[in-house]
Amino acid sequence: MGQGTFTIMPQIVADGLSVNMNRVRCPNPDTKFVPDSGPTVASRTTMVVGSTLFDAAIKLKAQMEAYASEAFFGGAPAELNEHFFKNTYTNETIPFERVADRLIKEKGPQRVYNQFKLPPQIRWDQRTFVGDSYPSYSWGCNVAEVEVNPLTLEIKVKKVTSFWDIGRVINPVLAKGQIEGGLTQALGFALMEKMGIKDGLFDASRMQTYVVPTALDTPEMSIDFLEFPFTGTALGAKGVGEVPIDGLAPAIANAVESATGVRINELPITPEKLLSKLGAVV
Amino acid sequence: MSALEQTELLTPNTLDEALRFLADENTRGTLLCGGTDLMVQWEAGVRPAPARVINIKGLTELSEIKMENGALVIGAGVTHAALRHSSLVIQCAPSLAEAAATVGGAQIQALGTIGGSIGNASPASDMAPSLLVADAIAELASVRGIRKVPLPKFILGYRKLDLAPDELIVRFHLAPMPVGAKENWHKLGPRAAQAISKVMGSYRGKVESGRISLFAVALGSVAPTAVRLPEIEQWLIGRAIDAETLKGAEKRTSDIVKPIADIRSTAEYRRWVSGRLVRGFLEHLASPS
Ligand SMILES: Cc1cc2nc3c(=O)[nH]c(=O)nc-3n(C[C@H](O)[C@H](O)[C@H](O)COP(=O)(O)OP(=O)(O)OC[C@H]3O[C@@H](n4cnc5c(N)ncnc54)[C@H](O)[C@@H]3O)c2cc1C
Repeated sequence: MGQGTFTIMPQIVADGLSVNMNRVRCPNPDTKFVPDSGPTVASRTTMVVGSTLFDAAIKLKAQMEAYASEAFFGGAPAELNEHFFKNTYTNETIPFERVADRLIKEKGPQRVYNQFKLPPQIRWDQRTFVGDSYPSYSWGCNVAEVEVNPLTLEIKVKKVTSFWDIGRVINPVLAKGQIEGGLTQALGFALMEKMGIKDGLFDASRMQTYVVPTALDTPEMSIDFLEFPFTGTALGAKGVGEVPIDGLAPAIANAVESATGVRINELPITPEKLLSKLGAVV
Repeated sequence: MSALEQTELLTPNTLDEALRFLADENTRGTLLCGGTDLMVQWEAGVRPAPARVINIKGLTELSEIKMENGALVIGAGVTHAALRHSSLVIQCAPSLAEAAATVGGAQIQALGTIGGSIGNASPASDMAPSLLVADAIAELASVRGIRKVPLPKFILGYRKLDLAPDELIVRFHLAPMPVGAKENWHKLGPRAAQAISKVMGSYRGKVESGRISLFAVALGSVAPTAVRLPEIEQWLIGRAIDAETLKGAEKRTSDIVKPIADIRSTAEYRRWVSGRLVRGFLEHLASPS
């Protein structure tokens, strides 16, 4: 469960450091140790936190390489590559553990500090509301294939085909999972979830009355990525948090319109609403 | 804390023992079979937890499916999972097997029973329409003896049964589907599984020499109990299934049913779709397969 942050953050750090992922630990965030990085909004974790960590890892790598160069290679440049530091003049290698042990003994744990900076071309004027309020956006395109039963006006989504630009894809399996989850949630948004208010109380107050999709409602999904890495950060990732829920309901509404000729512009789209628009003349 | 902390549980080993428990006021209690209705109702506080529960789950006398004197006999403790896979049910009352396959999900089907579904006396019981089109008779037992009551007389209203405090449902007797007849089940729910029906129904019908010779249809969730539609059935007997028949049956059905609006659907849709289901059943009856 969860969005996979604890998987992709070590992945990003391992990538920046050029070490194996199992060398990276990701503790639970605690404001005793980390600064307040703003709210959990706008699908920004991978782009902002991920980029911050990626650039920090690159700094830490440079710091360790500088030490290896000075302590082991007499000043010749060192390059960390998975398990070894390599003298790039002689190709001599020294295991990561040896360098790390000595570094910690001599200088103690190594820390780097890095702060996310907006790319300089991104400007936003809060007074005039002019500029770019976000440095980048993820994009998606959804095609819904829908069957409307002419006997009963039941609506069944048979297949969803979708393409996504979330920048550089850090973990394709998790990204796909997030999109499958978001599309399923969007399916509920489109066809079943409704919360009315009756006498000041929610009428759908339980999971029995607040209907969400089951596995049997979930259509076949085809999900593909078109990677246009974000140029404002070295990492190149954008976000995949909320974007999967945005487009499917309109796609389903369009498909229902093309099947029945009537446009429902209020979610959820139900057989009851189709009937009241179509009249009983089917 | 569980809602059942203070509740006493009795588990009889035989039907006779269960009937003796029910007969004595000191051991009488609420019957529990699969518990899929009761456990939810107790925990949600919809129904107060009782002082005593008599657990009849697993009693062999309630678990049989068999042919007896020309009737299909289904024990009250038969689960939806057993119903949907029984070759006897598939052969003699196919719409009941189809209905059982649409109840809740796999877990509910594994525990929930046909006796509990009727015992719960909800208009949304997915078991009721197929039992009604098979002219099912409920066999009730108590230490005083056996009573056999046709289902429409047994289900009296919303959450009301003709069941004495010392009685339980032992089994249902169904008329098997005649040779050459067909059945079908259609459930309309707000989603594909784990759904309480908006409207659902079953039919049993037969065409001979191009004319309808048998037609039984029952709908659920359109009235306080599941209902047969005798006016429609009589109107259809002797007719050929043509455009006029389809239109007439659809319109007449929509005119007859008096559904309500609730959180799951509107009265307008329920009325309209009731007619559409009957039309669909007639089309199914007319189709070559
Ligand atoms: C998640 C979920 C999904 C569901 N989905 C559906 C669905 O799709 N369609 C549907 O129709 N139902 C559905 N149900 C309701 C229910 O599960 C079924 O109706 C089931 O068949 C009830 O059987 P049971 O044995 O579990 O009943 P129990 O809960 O044991 O009993 C229900 C009632 O029947 C009485 N009773 C039980 N056995 C007897 C007997 N032999 N004689 C007399 N009275 C008896 C009990 O005293 C009680 O009042 C669902 C329930 C849940 C929790």
